[in-house]
Amino acid sequence: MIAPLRSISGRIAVIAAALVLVILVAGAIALSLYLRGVLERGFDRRLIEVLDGVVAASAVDPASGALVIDRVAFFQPGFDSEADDPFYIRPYWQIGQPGAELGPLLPDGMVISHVWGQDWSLALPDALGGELYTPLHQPGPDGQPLHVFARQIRLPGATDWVSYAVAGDLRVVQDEMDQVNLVLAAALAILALLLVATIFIQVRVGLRPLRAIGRRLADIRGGRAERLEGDFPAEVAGLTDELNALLDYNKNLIERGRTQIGDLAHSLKTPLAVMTNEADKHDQVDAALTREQIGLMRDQIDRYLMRARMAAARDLLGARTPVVPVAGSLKAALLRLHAQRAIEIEILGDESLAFQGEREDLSEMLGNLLDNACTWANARVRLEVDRDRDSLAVTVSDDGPGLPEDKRETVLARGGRLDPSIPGSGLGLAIVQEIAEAYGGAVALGTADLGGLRVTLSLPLAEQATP
Amino acid sequence: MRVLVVEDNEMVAEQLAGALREANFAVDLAHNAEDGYELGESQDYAAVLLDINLQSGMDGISVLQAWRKKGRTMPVLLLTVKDRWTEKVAGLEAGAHDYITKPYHIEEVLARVWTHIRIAVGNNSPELACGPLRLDTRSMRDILLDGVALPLTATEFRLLAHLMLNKGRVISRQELTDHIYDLNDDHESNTLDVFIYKIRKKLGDHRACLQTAPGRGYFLTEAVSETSDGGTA
Repeated sequence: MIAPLRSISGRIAVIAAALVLVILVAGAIALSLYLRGVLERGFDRRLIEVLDGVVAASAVDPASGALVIDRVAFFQPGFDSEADDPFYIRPYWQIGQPGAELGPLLPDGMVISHVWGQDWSLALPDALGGELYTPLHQPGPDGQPLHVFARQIRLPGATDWVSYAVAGDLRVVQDEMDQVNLVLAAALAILALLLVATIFIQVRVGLRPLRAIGRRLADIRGGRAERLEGDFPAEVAGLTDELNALLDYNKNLIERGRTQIGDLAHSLKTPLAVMTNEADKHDQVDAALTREQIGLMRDQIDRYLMRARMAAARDLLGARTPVVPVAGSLKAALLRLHAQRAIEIEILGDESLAFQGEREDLSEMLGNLLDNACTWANARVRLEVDRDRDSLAVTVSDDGPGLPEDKRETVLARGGRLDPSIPGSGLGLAIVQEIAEAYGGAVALGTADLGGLRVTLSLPLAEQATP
Repeated sequence: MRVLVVEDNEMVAEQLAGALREANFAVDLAHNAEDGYELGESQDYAAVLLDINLQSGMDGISVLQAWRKKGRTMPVLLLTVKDRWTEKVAGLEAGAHDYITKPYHIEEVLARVWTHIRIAVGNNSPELACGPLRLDTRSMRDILLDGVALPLTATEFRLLAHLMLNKGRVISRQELTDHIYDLNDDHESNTLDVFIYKIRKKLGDHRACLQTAPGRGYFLTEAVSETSDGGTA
């Protein structure tokens, strides 16, 4: 059961087969019941005709007052021979006085050939009132299922009521129905098989484009093709278009990655070349020069690592990061890192204000800014979170020496280091700027109220959670 | 003055250990988290350099947390190649004192180790002073006596530096032994006396700075008693 369900065609075939089976079986039962009804009604009509025939053939002899059956009138064609009766009804009939047992002993001239054996007779209710009986079900002498019709009639010239009864053996209908059911079952079984087979073939043929896509994808992976080419039916065209778009996106991504790796390699080659030349010239490389070049290489590596991470995170702009808690945990860490210098870090602002972006990126920006501030500060660092119209403004200021206006550009320039003796002083800000810009934000430098440098980060504001 | 280095890259570990030994530290090395944890838990270190990204078993942060849970409070400096601030915060929250990103300048590492050793004993000034003795922890190489460098061996340096760090406090022979030898040193109990003797000799007129607390240990004092030449042999 599991194996066919793993394939779409298998599933569709199983479901269709179940449906076809249910519908056909229900149809067969309904049809069979209907046909049986038709046959029974025909059977009953014949019985009534016989009853009417017997009634019509009977008369009262005016001389003796006895009941007589006119054989000629009774034995019409169709009643005298079993072969002529399409239903083989072979009706049994009885005539008698009401209230009396309708026995085989009848008055003079009575035809009794159609009465069952001597010791059995139909039991009829007393007062029928001339009504035509709706079929009365009664077991026969050998237990056969019988349909019985009866009437009571007062014949002209007679004073007494006469009861007439006709019975037919229902097994005739049953035999007919057995035949019909057999044919019906065979026909419907063949129909069911044909339907299921048709559905299966339809599904196989219908799903052929999917298999084709599978083969084409294998071609792409095997390097034999670059995109999904060819005419696909409308239903899968959307899928193939999306797959092609994905392939293009991947290709683009890989190309970008290659370009970046190339850029990184080139940016590392220059310092290496400088050191190689130096070594060739002097046999011994100047330590200061080596350190400087290694510093350059390290900055490049940091920058590209950051870019790689940003590229990976670019599609996750839905994140929401409250600023104050992040600043709080950074504060604890920075107080530890700058433990030997008594620095006070103040965090001000609305706790609910949140940055629309990754926690790690916010942490990176604030960490760099606060670390810078702590490095340069005399004693005080302040972080303020505020809302500036539709954006988030985070300001970090210190009471250090600050930065002259003409040097502010240099600090934000790529990897510009103001004081190489304090590690990371320049690159930190450049990284902050790069992350902020990736989020569509900005970095601005100014003079703080505290006297030192003030860095203002403008970032996308995450909407408040709806109250 | 004994430092533990937990670092599974043996080349980096040897480089660090070499630089630390050159700066007169006694160094124990552990190349995996389990050994590192055992040593840090059982031995008395002035500071620990702990790599975060240990390949086998626990990572550095777990080792650090395990020590802190056991009540070990020595300064721990984390070494890592990742310099994300979220990592730094996690490391410092786990109980680290500092965070050093690879690649690093070895001088910077030494300076930070010294800084944290100083801070751990409550000394905020980068220069240790005791009477005529001076030790600038930023240069780390020499102990000056009246402005002149004392010709000390590495072990003597550690012994005197430890006494200077804890000046005025009586240091037991056991504690001194713990701080001047690394695990590979083969030492006998009476060698400590030999070192004390040699240092006193090098201190010359100021030998009385280094005092014996009979039955308890040794301590360094600023006040030079006037009977300082009493023991000259």
